[in-house]
Amino acid sequence: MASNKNVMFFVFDPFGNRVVLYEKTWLTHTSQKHNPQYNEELPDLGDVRESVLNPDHLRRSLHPEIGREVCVFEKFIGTDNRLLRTPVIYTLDPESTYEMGTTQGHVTTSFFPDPPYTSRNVGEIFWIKPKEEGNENDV
Amino acid sequence: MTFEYDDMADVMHISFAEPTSRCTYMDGVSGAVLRIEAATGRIVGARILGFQRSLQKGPIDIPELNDPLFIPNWLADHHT
Repeated sequence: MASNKNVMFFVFDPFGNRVVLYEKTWLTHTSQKHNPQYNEELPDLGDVRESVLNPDHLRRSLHPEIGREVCVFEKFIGTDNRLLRTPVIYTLDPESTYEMGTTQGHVTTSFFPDPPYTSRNVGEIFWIKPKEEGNENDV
Repeated sequence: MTFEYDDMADVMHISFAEPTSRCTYMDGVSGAVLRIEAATGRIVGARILGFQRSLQKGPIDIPELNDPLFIPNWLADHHT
């Protein structure tokens, strides 16, 4: 039985908020894994961690109930550049936003959406990973 | 049908049926993440984010489940 206190990782998001993946969330997630014969691609723990620590871009959530508190992290994973989507929910008071970098959040789920770019619950990209200095190959 | 609630993340995982082939995921209209059998377009599961919060506002609807056009439209989008 997973303890509520156990975490799989914590990282700081690009705004400086502390983001946790609880063990229970991860175990519930992985218990949803089904027969590997179906070749269902599921993110591994490192992918989920990287999607929060070093995302390629961030989107607003349009979730009808919790959208204001949720930021959708997206990162391209693997050699085939599959888009991994990781919604994170933050603890916010009415005056604060997660962009202030003064709060904490936790991963709710993580998955490879298909189709990757269209969703009625995920809004526009509002943050893009800055280009690394000195990398002339960046476009 | 099975239910598994993650109280740390407030996410309800629902399995409607055992898939018989590879599955994929999409964001549903209601805020649920739908698990869909790729070959048939059948919805076999859902992850409902903000489950308790949504429940406080009333019954949770996953409109895709009652949409007779969902599967044909999904298949048309994914198999053309």
